[in-house]
Amino acid sequence: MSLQALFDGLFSGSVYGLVALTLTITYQPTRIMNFAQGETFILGAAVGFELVGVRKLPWPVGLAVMLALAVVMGLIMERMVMLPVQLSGSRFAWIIATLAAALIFQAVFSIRYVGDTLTFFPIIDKTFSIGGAAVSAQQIIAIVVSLTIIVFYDQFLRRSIYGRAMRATAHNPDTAIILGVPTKRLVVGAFVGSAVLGALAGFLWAPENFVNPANGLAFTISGFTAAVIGGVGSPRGALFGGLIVGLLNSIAGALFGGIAAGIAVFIALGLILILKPAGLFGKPMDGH
Amino acid sequence: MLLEIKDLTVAYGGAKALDNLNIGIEEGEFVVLLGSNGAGKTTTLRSISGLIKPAQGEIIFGGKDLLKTQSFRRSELGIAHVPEGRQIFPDHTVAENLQLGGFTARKDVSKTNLALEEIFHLFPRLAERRDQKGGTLSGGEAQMLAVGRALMGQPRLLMLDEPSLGLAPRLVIEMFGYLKRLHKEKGLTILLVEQQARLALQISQRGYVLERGVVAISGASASLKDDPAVVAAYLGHAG
Amino acid sequence: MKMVKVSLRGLGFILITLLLLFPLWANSTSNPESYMNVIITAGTSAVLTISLNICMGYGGLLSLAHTGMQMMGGYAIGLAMLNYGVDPWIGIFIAALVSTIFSVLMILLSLRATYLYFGMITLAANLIAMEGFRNALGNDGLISGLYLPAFRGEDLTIKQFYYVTLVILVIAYVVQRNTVLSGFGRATMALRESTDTASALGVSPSVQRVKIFAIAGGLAGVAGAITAMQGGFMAPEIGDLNGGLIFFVGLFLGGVGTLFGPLAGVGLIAAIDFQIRFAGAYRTLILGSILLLCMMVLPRGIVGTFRASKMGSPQELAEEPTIDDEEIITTLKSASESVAIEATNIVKHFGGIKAIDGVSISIRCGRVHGIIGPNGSGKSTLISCITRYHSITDGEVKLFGAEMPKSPHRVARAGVTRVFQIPHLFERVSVRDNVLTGMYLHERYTWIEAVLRLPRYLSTTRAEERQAAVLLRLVGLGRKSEIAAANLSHGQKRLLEIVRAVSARPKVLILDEPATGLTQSELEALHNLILFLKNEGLAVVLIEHNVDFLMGLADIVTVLESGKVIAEDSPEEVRNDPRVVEAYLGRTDISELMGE
Repeated sequence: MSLQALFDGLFSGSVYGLVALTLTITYQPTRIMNFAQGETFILGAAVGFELVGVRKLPWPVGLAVMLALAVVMGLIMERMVMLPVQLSGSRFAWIIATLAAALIFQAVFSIRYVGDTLTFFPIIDKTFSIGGAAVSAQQIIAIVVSLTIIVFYDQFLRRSIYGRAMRATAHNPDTAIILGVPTKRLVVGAFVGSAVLGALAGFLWAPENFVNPANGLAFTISGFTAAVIGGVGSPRGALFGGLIVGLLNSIAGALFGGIAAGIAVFIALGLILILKPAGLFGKPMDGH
Repeated sequence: MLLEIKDLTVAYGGAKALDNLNIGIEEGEFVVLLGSNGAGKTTTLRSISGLIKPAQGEIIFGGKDLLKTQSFRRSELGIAHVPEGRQIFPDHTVAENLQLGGFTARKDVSKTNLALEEIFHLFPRLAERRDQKGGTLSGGEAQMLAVGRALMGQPRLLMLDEPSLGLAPRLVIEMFGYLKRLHKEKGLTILLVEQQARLALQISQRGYVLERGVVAISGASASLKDDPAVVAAYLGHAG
Repeated sequence: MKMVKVSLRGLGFILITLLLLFPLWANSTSNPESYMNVIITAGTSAVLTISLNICMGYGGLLSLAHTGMQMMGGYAIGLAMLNYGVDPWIGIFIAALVSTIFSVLMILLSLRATYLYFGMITLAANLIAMEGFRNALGNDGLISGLYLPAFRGEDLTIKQFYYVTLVILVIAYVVQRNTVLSGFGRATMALRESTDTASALGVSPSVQRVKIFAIAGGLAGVAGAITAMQGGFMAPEIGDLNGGLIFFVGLFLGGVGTLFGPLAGVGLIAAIDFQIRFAGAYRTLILGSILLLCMMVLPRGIVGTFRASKMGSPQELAEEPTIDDEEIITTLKSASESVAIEATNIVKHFGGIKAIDGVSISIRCGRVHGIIGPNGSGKSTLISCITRYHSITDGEVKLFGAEMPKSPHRVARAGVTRVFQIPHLFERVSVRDNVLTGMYLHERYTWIEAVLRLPRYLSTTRAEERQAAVLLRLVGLGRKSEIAAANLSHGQKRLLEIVRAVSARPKVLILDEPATGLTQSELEALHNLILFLKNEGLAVVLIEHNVDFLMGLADIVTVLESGKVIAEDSPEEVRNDPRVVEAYLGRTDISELMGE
């Protein structure tokens, strides 16, 4: 078994974990799985590509602009999703709304970056050799940043009053309201927060891989699979789910080829749904 | 008057849960809301705390028009609601549940801590369990926690929805005991919805008996206690 | 109703006429084939939208795999034609079959999943199928050289193929219509509304879901075959979700869960889509925005909004419909007073809490058995245990001497019907159709017989409609039989739901707080109905808080408190029993302990 596949799996796994975290963040106060989440990932890759890759601006500038745009995207996405949900009253509203939002953003990215693959120079252009495997600085940065963010969010949920309010809203929105928690603002905050982190994930990923601007949905699915395996609503679940998906993908792919990777993940998903539907770290009531 | 409910009507589909309800509570009163299931007691409390939007009517609290106030802002005004079934957050500890009760004062950490200590003083049993998860508490302790959580915001009005539900008789007495103390010592205005009608009438000053969304009888608790009409509201009219 | 039928039917006829005459107009243009191809493409989109409507609109099952099903059908016919020389006409059936199998596999895999996960599973299956064909076949999955079927030795022209597509569209519409307007369709809608209610009516949720998805898959496969033959090729890109956006837009624009909606929606969108069909990402942008706007502005779609409006919805009849039949319900006239349900020592724990702590109760035919008790005493839990909505921790439940069946829908089939506290009517469906849904258990025709409107379906339906008319007259709803259930008063809805429950000819009828929210006259109607049913030999269980109402009806009353039976006697005795008064109002001895 190749060490290279292991490290590649760790890298992709931590990024998937970050995407899974963003899904968890919006899921908690709304019980909605945001199918458009992957588009925020593309935003990160796109801004990096355009500012750092094409215009050769320094990466802190690219990062700052990306964060600002992600906030805007989060605000827009919240309205695109929540407004139809509130007005429609149909139980499918959120699925269709998030899908429509995903396709709209996907179209925007495809139009702007037609023919481009989004990638740009790594922050530090160095590669290390560990036990015969080539591990780049970018990969290490990505792993470290993702892990830090996930751990930070986990602590935020546990220790901060806002994090606790978030968990309380997830568990029982009515009770949260009567305690004075502004649940609607929490929802907006969740969308914005997840957009920022999603964009960051894309920003970390793109220097190592070629990102197709139309591929947002695929990242959403990877993130979703990771979240389900790890347990929706749990940052630890996001992390472990992401690592499992990343490693399975990478190792199965290295051993058996392209389609085996997808099948391996699908099997893992199936097993979890049968054996422990709430996910590895999920609680029965959270597992929808 | 601290709380005024005027001609309140709440409708579900074609049915009227509340039908031109009129209730008034003065500051410092201990008022009880009785009635069988479906009479509208829970609907009344939920309308006051904003979880239900009425079709018609007015709710005035401390001079403010509640129906123009967003639901999450009502606890800031001083309305505390202990909901049916307590609704403790099972994954948060006792201390964390209480801190959430003080959410509106979250920016003033010292104020919150002071309030926390006061609650622990009031309910020593909660202090013993401060780091225990809410889901591990017994029924009586959970009830205490729910009340304590509601008190964290220094409310002007404390509303409780069937707090005796599922509690052993001994614990019911204990709970009614501390409610009475809160009323006496802190002058807290209490609106209590209860099924344990007799007990509730013993510790309260005034009562309303609801039937099908309207007030059927009201008056001083002392006189309602022996009123056969109260029995009839639950068990029907004889003959 | 008559007015509506005429206007929508009229529109339908106009549409068909226009479509039939279209090729004549196209011939006058410079590029007739291109225009006819537009309609053919719109036609396949319409078939796919109808398929999606069956799944989502009527079945409540989200499918993100419709483009995948289409692709499956296309590959099936394509590979059959190219590799095995199969005749295209046969190929269409093969396409339907393959797509059906694909759909059934998807749903079998996800029977345990909630609808969220089910949606994701369909999406994942779609992507895997696309990847599969891309990798397994050479040339990135592209196969070409497909051709149109032949008729009398010659390949069809585009114009003839156009008419073939039109016929297939009509068939798809008829299949949808005949499926929906039958017992099968009503069972499907019941499932969509509430799994519990559907089970209570005897519908097996898993089986029904598999059937719906299979039908949808079949239709989608046929559409895929058309697409393959029209284009002459098949590629994995056909399975792309983007391509399926138009189905969703068409469906939501036209009206989810309406018969005509898919056609109206696709018809409207096809015109726009034709203008932007090569615009690639711009097309997705425009379609996606239309979809989102539609959800905000016209949540019910065009047809749905029309149906819900004053103009479009059916009205009250001028007179009671005339019926000659008297015999309404045949239950066990002779077996009065025999024991229907015998529950012994039921214990139910929820975690550490003893919700039911050793309750025994005996329900007899021809009697009204009341169950009362304060909040939290366990009344509803007891019933849920008896009817197997909850598993019991200990104890025995017998139905007419044999063990009570194990799952809710089997309990319903055995003749025990439960009407829940919260009404679960089909709001948008007529009063009469609501009643007909209750008769699902006794319908013996298959889906095929329903679609083809064969004699067994027709005779069963006639008998059902007669019975429904009699039942409705019984509760004074005869003139409202065509009105949408949503427009009834709360009390009327309650009565309708009980009538629906009774139409299943149960032996035991369980009513969970039926009197809540009823006006005085509605209470009288309810009172009379229950008396009537009791005299017909039904065992009626009545859980009630309105004790006044109960006392006038019940032959025997069981009082629960904290999961135990504290009294069981005639209503008068129970009302005067001090233990019962104490249970409701609180203990006097504790009160004295409180002092003051």
